[in-house]
This record gives sequence, structure tokens and C-alpha cells, in this order.
Amino acid sequence: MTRTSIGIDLGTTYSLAAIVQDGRPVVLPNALGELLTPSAVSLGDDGTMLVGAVARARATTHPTRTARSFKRDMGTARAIPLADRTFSAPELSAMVLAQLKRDAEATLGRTVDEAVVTVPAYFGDAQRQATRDAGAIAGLVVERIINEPTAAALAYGLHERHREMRAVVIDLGGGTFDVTVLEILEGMIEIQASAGDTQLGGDDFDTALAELVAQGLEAERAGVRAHPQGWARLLDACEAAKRRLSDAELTRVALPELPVGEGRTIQLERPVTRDQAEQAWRPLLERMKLPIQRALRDAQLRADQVDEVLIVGGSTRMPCIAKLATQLFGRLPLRSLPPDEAIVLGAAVQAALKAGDAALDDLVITDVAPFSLGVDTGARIGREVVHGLFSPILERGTVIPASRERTFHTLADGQRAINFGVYQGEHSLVRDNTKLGEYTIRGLAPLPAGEQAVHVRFTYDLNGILEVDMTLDKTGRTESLVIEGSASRLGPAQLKAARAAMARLKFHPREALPNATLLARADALFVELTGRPRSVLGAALAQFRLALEGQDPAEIAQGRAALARFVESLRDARS
Amino acid sequence: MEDPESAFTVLGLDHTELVNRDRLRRAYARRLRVYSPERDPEGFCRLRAAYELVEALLELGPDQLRAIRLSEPLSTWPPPDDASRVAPTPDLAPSAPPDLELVASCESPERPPVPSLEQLMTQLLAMLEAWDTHEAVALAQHWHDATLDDHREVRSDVVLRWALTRDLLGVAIVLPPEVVRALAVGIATNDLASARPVIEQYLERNPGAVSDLNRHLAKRARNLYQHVGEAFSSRRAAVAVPVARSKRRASHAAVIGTALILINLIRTQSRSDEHERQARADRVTEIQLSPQAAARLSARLSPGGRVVAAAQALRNDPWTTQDERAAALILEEATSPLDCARLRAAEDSLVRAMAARPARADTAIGFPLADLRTGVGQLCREP
Repeated sequence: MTRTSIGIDLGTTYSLAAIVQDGRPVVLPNALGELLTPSAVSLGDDGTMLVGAVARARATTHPTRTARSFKRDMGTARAIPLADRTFSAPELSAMVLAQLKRDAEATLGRTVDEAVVTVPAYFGDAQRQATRDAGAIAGLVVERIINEPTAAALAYGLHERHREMRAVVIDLGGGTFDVTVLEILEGMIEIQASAGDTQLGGDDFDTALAELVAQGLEAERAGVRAHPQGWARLLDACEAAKRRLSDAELTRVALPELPVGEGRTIQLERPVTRDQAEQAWRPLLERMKLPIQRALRDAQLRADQVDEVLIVGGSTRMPCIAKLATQLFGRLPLRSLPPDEAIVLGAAVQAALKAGDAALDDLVITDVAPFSLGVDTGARIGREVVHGLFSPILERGTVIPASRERTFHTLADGQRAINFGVYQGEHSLVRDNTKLGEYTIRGLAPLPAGEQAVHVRFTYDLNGILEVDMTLDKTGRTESLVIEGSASRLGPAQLKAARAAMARLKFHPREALPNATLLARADALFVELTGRPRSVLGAALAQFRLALEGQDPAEIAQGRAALARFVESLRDARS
Repeated sequence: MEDPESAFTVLGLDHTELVNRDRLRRAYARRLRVYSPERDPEGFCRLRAAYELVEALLELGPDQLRAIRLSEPLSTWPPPDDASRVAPTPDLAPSAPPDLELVASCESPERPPVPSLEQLMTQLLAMLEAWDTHEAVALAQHWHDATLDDHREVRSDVVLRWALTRDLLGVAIVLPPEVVRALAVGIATNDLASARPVIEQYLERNPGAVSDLNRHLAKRARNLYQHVGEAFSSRRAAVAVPVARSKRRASHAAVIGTALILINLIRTQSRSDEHERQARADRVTEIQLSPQAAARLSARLSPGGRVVAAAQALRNDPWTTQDERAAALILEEATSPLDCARLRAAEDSLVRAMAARPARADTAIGFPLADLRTGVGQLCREP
């Protein structure tokens, strides 16, 4: 029996799953029939875990019990609090992955056990390992971790594989920004360079807009910032306003009874024009130029030599992003795939390639190492010894999989041990780069300085995971090390424990998810409303809750449909 | 991987083959299916090392068109008759791999190389001068096919010459050989004025041809017409098709050519590098032959001219939609007499119409929407 392998885009704000069927990738819908599952986890009032749209809606009503954007904490040891409990970023990601797995299984009617998961190109070793761990906790074998822009390129490349071109993929997601330069030639998709900014995404545009709106409130501003629920509502409203500004020149942000702390509330209503918003976003747009220029420089390409500019990621719906791309490249960007889906479609293609899908036989993709990898060295200058120099072994932009070797020598007479710090980054001093791990070789024969050589070989695989081999030339002794020195990396025992803990968690039953999601959405809307619409919604909510308690399926379905229509019409009326 | 021989073998390249960068990349791409990074990581590393070695060899040369090949095929090394005559003992046999032969051109039988635009122009003009019109057209077609999109390759310092060459190519078949020859020489030497005596002599001898010649140039070779049109202006009576009317029917190529000149001139002007700008401007003025032509060109660069040229380019683009074409037509009409309300309205509806086709954004020619908007803005600036 063949194992079923899917592609997963584990995004900062939304996650998706897709599979290749008959040579074409398709996105798999979730329990609500939607393609996008919000990357949000909420601890329900009854102690069950809520994942997806329901958790996303609860972010407004229960900010302290809900976690979002935890992808930004992948690879750190940060504990994220949900009410009285704490979770790590891989654990929360695992809950999202498990939800996608369950939804995919329900749609496909068979077990899904393997997945290709995408990460931003600029994810370092620790963040990739954390993503792999999240998959393991969720009960998925993560067969391959691929870079998001590479996945997007693969989705486009599948369409355009019979064309020859050099393209730039600009990917602005919820939380990350990536740029990739690639060439398509004779069925080969060659990634030539990638660069990015891990701390720049659509969320930052929301925050900038919220700051702009809050500026009008001067005196209240500090209060709004300090009040988590109020700030979450303002961010939410600004995200919606940002979306509206993609189509309209003018919109308004209206929040009646916005709490600002100390039990006070304010009436917030402010018109925002696209020009004003774009003014507020200018610093962010400026920041986007740097990675683009770097990627082009790495690929030794001028902007006018680029044949196509592809933009992906939900945030590229903003007209200012297309404008920036047009300005930088002198041509209109191409957007023939839905911006939210390009990445997951590419991940599904990769999963099918990995599984040896015959329909995709003539397609090969090669990727590059997104950052330099090297070791900590010292140098003798005159009588002084300088420590902490970064000596790259595998340069950024090297086509992977790759293996590179460099030889180093002992620094002191009679040196008995060598301590290797392994780093990633582009700075000349190791203290400015990211430490991946370290290893000490002991028991060297005492020799004069420089007599003992050690060959260090770095092998970087397709998943972006590094293996280090060290060979002492005098003895031929070999030591090897797979980087797992980072603080957040889980050992096998910890993984097992995490998986067990996950199994103990109670998840909201999948069948009940549409009801719970609708309730959470209606609750979130209730907070926003005033006057008559609010009381009418309150009544409709109460009626639906009553129907739920009655447990009559027909009545529940009827009540759900009625409330859903009502919620939709109210949301439409507000925007 | 140290020796080029095994690199050639791994890449599946024939040892006698001339290899340039394009060939190398294609060979590498094809071999990737065998040594895929997915299925055979070690094989892939060998393939990549081979590729990087040959790539490094290619970069030894200063010329982009440089190609290399191994001087002797592997199977015949050492050469058999040498071996029979000298019969070296095994440890005296030459152990070094065959030397690399560095070749400055990359002629190869089955795939003719793509010349640069400048080389192409030189060849085309030489062919036209020799009256090899059909071959010149075939060569231009081959170049066009091979590069897919010529205006990406055009540098601003050659753009005017290219536009003139292309114009001449378009009308060469209907013009008398001596005129074609004179124009070809004129374009090649950056001195179109030198063609005027020949044209005048020809017209002197064949007064009846004036209207034909005039019409062909005006209709199908706008750029040429601009530069040699004065040759006819003294024979006013014979001017058959006034410029204003022929504008509507100007050929696609000529309009795109004109738009290109505009785009490139505008780009040239906005270059921050003052020195480069001066150098380019010098080269451009070299080809501006008569004061009249220069005046006409600068009229094209006026806000109104900009709007008209951009609107025409859009109308002639095969991908333009009905709505866009309608808006472009209004834009053209409303520039003279100037009607700002209509201009603004047409601009808005054009912008809307273009925004409504995101899926086909890739098919827009390098359309200078921004220039059009600037042009309209300048025309209708508040006094």
C-alpha cells in the first residue's frame, strides 16, 4: 500500500494542506469547507483545545486564552501562555498540523502519515528542527522541509516548465518576507539565490495601521496599547481595514466601546485613505527593498534581466506591493495563482515528486543554502591571538545538497583539545552570527602549534539540516556531529513526552467545529456592535445556544444557517 | 573533480563539442534528471562539481561568447599513430589530460548562436547594403525567435539605430536598391544625412517615384521618415499622405519602436549617473541629423507627445482590451485641442481597465502607464 503524502503550508496567520491528484495540485478544504485554516489555538472554557477559525474568532473575545503568530517563536525556548497553562511554539504548531491532518484525512478518506512542510527561506537550523519536531508531535513524518518561495516557484514552475525564464518570487506572508531568484530551463527549476527578513510581514502592516489610527487618540494611546483586549480588537479592525484598502481608496475604522484600561471605553471612528496608509507603511516598504537587492546581487542579475516577477503570499494583495515590484523591476508582476495558495500547491508538488509521481517525472528542482555556515576560529597576529573569527565553510548560495571541506590547524603549542563552535550567518565575527552548536575533540597528541591539522567537512542536506565531520590528519580519527545543540531542540525522550501530552489534550470534536466557529464569530461580532443590531444578534445567539442544548440535529442545522446568514449580513454591512 | 575530461563525461558533453555557457547549462539541466538531488544526492554532488568546473573554465575568458572544447576526444588519446611510432612504455606515456582549447567563437552546426543586438544590426545593415533583403529578414526573424523579446535586450544607446534598422528592414523590399544601400550605410555610420544626396539624385531621375517613396516611408517606417523626410519636403506637391493621417495607420513595429525610443530616452534622462547620462545623450544626439528632426523628436517628448505615443502603443498592442482601446483613443483625441476633463476621465478608466486584468498582467507590453499619467498630469497642471 502506498503511503499518502500531503503538502502543508504552515503559515504565520493561515495554514493550508494540498495534494497532487492526476498530476495537478489541489488544496484540501477543512471541516468548515474553507481552504485557509487560521494558525490559531485557543483554550476553550471547558478545557478543550480549539484550533483554526474558532480560535481566530476567540482572539478578540478571549485574548489571554488564545495564541496566534506563534510561528515567529519557532526555534526559541519561549513559553506561550494560554490562561493558566503554557505551551511551546512547536506544540502549538503541532496542534495546527494535527488539525490539518484530520481535515485532510476526512476529505481523502484515508490515513495521511507523511508531509512536506514549508518554512521561510530565512528559517535557520533551529527553526527547521522545531518545525520537524512539530510534525513529529502531530504524528506526521515530515519527509521534507522546503523553503516557501521555492515551493511557490515550484507551483509556478509546474505551469511554466516548458518556458525558459529567469524570475524573482516575492513572498510576503503574514509574518515573513522572502525573495527568491530562479531560472527555469529544460524542465529544471534552479533556485539561484534567496534572501529575506524574518521579522517583516502582513502583521507589521496591521500594527503600523493601528499605530496610525491610535495616533489620533493621543491621550488614550498608551492605554490602548496596554489593554490586550482593546489592542487585539484594534489590530483586528485594522487588518480588515487593510484588506478593504486593497480595493477601495478610502475606508473607516470604527470601534464603539473600545476598552482602554481602568474600565474606561472610548468611541473610535476614523476614516483612513489608502495614501495615508501607504505613508504609514513606507518604512516597511523600504525594508522590503534590501532583501530584493541582496538576492539579485547574489544571483549576479540586474533588475532588467528578470523575465518575470511572481508575487505570492496573502499580503501581496495590497496594491502597494505590486507597485513596489513594478517600480523595482520595471514590469508588472505576475499573479496567475491565488496568492494564498501558491506555496501549499508547490509543497504538494514536492510531496508528489518525493513519492515519485509519474506525472511530474520531467521536473527537477535545485535549491541553495540561504545562509553561510562556518566555524569559530582564532588567528595569531604578531604576538596577539584574536578569537571569535567566523570562517565560513559552506557559503550562502551554494547549491544543495552540498558537502564542503576546509582544513584548520592548532593555534597553541602542545594543544590537547579543539573546541568547534558551529555558526550560521554573514558577519565576520561569530558573536554577530547565530550559534548552532559546538563540539570538542579531546586527546590530541601534543604537537607544536600549526602541526596538527583538522579537516572539517560540512554536509548540508535538502532539508537544510547540517552534518559536521571532523578528521584529524595525524591519527585519521573521525568525529561526527549532527547539529542539535540549540536550546529548543527536543530529544527523542522529550518528543515522546510531547506526543503523549498532545494525546492527553482534549480537542473539540471535528463535527462540532462549524457550530463552535459560528458561535465564536458571532460572539466576536457582538462585542463590536451597539444598539439594535447588537440586541438582535444577542437574541439570535441565545436561540442558537438553546437549539444546541436541545440536540435536535434538524433544529441545530436550521438555527446555524439562520445565524450564519445574520452574521454575514452584519459583517458585510460594517465593511 | 579536477580534470575537465571527466567533467565533460559526467555532464554528457561530447569531447569534440564546442561548449558555451548556454550549452553547458542545458547539458547540466538534462543530466539533472539522471543525477537528481532527490534520488541520488551523491551523483548530484558530482554533477554539480563538474558543472562548476566547466563554468569556471568558461569564465577564464573575457568574452561572453567564449566557448571551450577539449582538443582531442578521450578515446583517441594519445593519438594512435603517435603511439605506434614511438611506442612509449606505460609509465612514460603522457598522463596529462588533453589541453583545453580556448575558442573565441562558438559556431556550431545545429544551433546557430544568438548574436548581440549590435552584431545583429551590423550584419543586417551589411546584408541590406548588399541588397540581400530576404536573408536579412530571415536573420531578423531568427534573432527575434531566439531572444523571444527584443525590447528587453535593447540598450538606450543603440535603441534609435535599432529602430531605424528595423524600419529599413520593413520597407527594404519596396524601395529601390540604391536607396536601401544608401540608408543602410547611413544608419551603420550614424550619418543618415549622407543618404540624402543619393535619395535626391534618385528622385531627380524618377520624379514619379516621389509619392510612392514618401508613402512607404511615412506609412511603414516612421522613424526613417522623420529623419529623411526633409528630402521630400522640397517637393511639396508630391507629398501624398500627410503625416497626421498616416499616424493612425502606422505599422505596429514602428509605433512600438517609437514608444521604445521614448521609454528609453525617458529612462536615460532619469538615470542618476550623470556621467553615463551625458555619454548616452551624446550618442543619441549624434544620430539626430537635422534640427527639424531634433525638434520633432523633442515634440514627442513633450507631455502631449508622450500621452499620444503611449496611447498609440497601447492601441497597437494585440493584448489590449476593448475598454482600454476606447480609453486610449480618447486620450489621443483629447490632447489637441486639450480637454482636461476628458483626459482625466479617460486616464481613470484606462487605469481601472488595466487593473481589471491581473491575470493577464504578464502580457502587457512594457507599457509606460506611469509616463502616460505624468504626461496627463503635466498637461493638465493647475496654472
